[in-house]
Amino acid sequence: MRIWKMNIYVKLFAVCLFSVAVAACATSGVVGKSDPASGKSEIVEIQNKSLAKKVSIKDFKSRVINDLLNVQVEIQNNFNSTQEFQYKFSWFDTTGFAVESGGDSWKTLILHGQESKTVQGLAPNPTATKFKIVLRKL
Amino acid sequence: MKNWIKPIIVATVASLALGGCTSVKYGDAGSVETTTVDFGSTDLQGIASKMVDSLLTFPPMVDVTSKRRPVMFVDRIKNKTTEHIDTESITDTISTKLLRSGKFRFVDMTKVQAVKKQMDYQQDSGLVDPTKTMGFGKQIGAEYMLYGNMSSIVKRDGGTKDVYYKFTLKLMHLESGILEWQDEKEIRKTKSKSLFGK
Repeated sequence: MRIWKMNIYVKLFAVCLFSVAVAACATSGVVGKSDPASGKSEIVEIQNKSLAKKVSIKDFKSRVINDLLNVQVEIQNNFNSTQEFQYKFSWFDTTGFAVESGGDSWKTLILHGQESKTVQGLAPNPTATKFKIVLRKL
Repeated sequence: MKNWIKPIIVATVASLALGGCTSVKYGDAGSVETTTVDFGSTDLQGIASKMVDSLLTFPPMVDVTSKRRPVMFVDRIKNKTTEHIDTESITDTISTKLLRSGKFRFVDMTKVQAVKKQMDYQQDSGLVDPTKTMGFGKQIGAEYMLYGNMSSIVKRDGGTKDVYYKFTLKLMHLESGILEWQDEKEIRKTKSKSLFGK
């Protein structure tokens, strides 16, 4: 009986350890969206609250250049220590379908203490009218 | 049991157990890869992305491509690094992105012989309906040539290796010989050996 109880404790500990490990590996971060037609830019989703405390999106800007949606996002490191992030843009057409999905790769962004940097993205073709940026910390 | 047998059994069992952990899984092709400091997929994607964005937003090229879709051909990227780098793979990614942007068209100079062979067959074999053959002398000549260089500076100091890559891409107007656009992408990668690391 005692051995059985001990086994339960060991299993519970393993489950807790696993869930902590999974939480630590969570990579999704802040999702922002912009629609240049309406001029609206907003953070639509914060998937990782601890990341959202470390980094904030100060400003969104978007324009159309050569029929292609060009966006600029200003990202601020809220901490005094250097933080390393990755970001990726995704593009969508007017109906919400992903444009050239899988075409964009993750890019590394290093922000020193309290530093803010701008990152830019250019839509892969003129059908893209909306964008999404996802930040993650590995 | 003899003393030397026990460690051998333990080592055999341990190696079998470790061997059983081998697994194959699919990864994200767009994720950042930092296995070594050598040229990798993240560098290729970063270079292609920077070059395509720069070319498509360069004001004189915006003027040209807003009215028509110019035809270009890709010459080679000269690899001046000490590494073996498949530069054709870089230009393939760049030309794919440019073509799919709908702003440029390309002629493929690597397929000229295959095209000529097919045209000869259509014209001379007598097997193809003469009203449906592709005629000679109707191809569109390229207006621009895309070419460039890839160079690197490698420095080592003890356990630290620093690699600096510079990729330069140029766009020449064939008729005038004028360089219409040029841009660079710099990449710095450093590998440090820690006390207990590899």
